[in-house]
Amino acid sequence: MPSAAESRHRGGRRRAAAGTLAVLAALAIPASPAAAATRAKVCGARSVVVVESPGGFAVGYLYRGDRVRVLRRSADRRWSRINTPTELRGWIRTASLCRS
Amino acid sequence: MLRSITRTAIAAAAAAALLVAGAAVAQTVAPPAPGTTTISVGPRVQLAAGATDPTDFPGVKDRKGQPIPSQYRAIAYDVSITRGSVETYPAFTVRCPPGRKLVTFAATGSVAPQIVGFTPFVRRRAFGYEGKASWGVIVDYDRRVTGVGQTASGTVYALCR
Repeated sequence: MPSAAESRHRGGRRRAAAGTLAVLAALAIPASPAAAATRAKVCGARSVVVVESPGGFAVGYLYRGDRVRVLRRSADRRWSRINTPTELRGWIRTASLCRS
Repeated sequence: MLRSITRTAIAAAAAAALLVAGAAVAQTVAPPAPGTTTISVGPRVQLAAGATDPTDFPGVKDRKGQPIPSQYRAIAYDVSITRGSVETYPAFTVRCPPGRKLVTFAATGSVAPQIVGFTPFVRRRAFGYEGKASWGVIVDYDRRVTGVGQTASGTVYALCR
């Protein structure tokens, strides 16, 4: 039969372990896509085409210096999914982007 | 008979008066107000298969300088925009030749098409032009490079199959 002091000690250990687990779990959860979006700007060529899918058809053009939000990258990282304040959404060559 | 001749004369005089008035109005309207953006969009020009491809069309394999493949036709519009203090952009509907459907868009020079929708006069962008016979575009230019009073010009292309 454990004493009252021993029980309190065990309860404290459990709470500490639960807290550690909660912190680890929070670190393991990936950030939401919106939070993962990064800002970038178009650089390199004077204008670059925005396409509807990697290697796909044109949906618009951006100019050097235009700011975009990068939502994700293609598996080979050669294309980046972007959107702009003017509601232009599509894919652009990652090589055409640099940090804003 | 006399009445008929009189009526004809009156009609001719009225037509002449309208023409003179129209010319006067045109002369009055012709010079653009200061600060107005001046836009010119050339006639629709069709490049047949076999003609030299003027640009790299995104999403298709043919490349600039090579002959346009037999299944395609390219449509070209020359656009020139002299920027005024009030920004204005040309908006028009690109149409494929009869029986052909849109594949992709491209541009050369310092202007570029922004795909907008069934007509250029829409509030939200709609990109699903593939397989449609016509689609609306707005042509814009790099405002960082083209200052007020300067001209951006180029050609907007559509590829049809």
